[in-house]
Amino acid sequence: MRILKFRLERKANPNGKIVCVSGDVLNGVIFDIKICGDFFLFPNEKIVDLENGIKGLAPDYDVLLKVISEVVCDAYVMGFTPKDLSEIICEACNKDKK
Amino acid sequence: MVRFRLLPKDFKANSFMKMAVDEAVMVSVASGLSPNTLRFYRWKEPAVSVGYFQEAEKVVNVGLCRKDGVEIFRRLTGGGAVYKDPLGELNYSVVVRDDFDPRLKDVLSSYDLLCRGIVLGLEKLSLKAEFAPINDVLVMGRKVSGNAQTRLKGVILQHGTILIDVDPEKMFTYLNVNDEKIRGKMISNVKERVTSLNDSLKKRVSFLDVEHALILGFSEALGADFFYDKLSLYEKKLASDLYNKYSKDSWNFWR
Repeated sequence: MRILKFRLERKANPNGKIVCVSGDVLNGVIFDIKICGDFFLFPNEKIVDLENGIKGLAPDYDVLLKVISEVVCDAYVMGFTPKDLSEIICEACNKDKK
Repeated sequence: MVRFRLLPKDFKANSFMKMAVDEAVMVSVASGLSPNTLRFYRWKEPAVSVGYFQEAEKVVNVGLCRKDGVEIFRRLTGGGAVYKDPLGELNYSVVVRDDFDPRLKDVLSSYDLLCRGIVLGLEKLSLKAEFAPINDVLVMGRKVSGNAQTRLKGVILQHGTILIDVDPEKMFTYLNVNDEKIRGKMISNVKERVTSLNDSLKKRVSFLDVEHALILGFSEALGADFFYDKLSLYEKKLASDLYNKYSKDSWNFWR
């Protein structure tokens, strides 16, 4: 069993807001994740749906993008796009591997 | 003109009760039990407001806040952490059904419409202000008001700040900044990009004058005829229940 902790905070895109992702990757799967930042998202509860939707996924850009896009399709998000968030998560999970 | 409730201004309740009342009014309006509502408030003591999705422990200097008795509270809306200055800002919250005006359905145009209340209000004070998407109001190109929204079952809660006097150093005292050089840069940025009514008018303006001007501004922007009323018993009870949430670390430090 291999647990990898990750944390990355950065601006989502040049015009975006700060997004910080942190959590654990267990045996190549995102076991836990917290998404924080100064972005806007409503309904507010979507953040929990987003985090729960990501748990259990591999830190793979295409997989993440599909799920994140589905979760936020009926929400209002300002400050990051599904692509930004997928990138940040992948970057966070893979940065220690390099 | 459509009737719109104006609640008594709140200069006494602590930060947690202020947030509890905001949510209670939103829930009550969403339940069809209260009319569209505007209210004004000020902080009695300095406090730090944390955006709904922020990690309070990372963005706020919690130790210093505890030492100085500065309340840290999480608001229902997104955005960044801000210092609440009792002497420097007037705050408002507006709770309105999104079918009140077609422009309220869309987030961007709703910010435009609701912030227009501030723009028109500031015009009453002889200031030429403009809405700067997504959620700011500027005077001579510098931010004088920041605003944030959330929504619940077809109801918008928008609250925001109008800076009457601004102290850039104080704004960052209780916020965590990794590097002192960055802190200096942030303070310089604020000095360049943020202004206050006192600075813009080159004279001191009273909180009461600003409040009156904003009531006129919101009335004009929304086509609203304000009537004074108090919180309903239901809203008071709900706010009291919600206070338990807002005053606890489990809420304020939940992320």
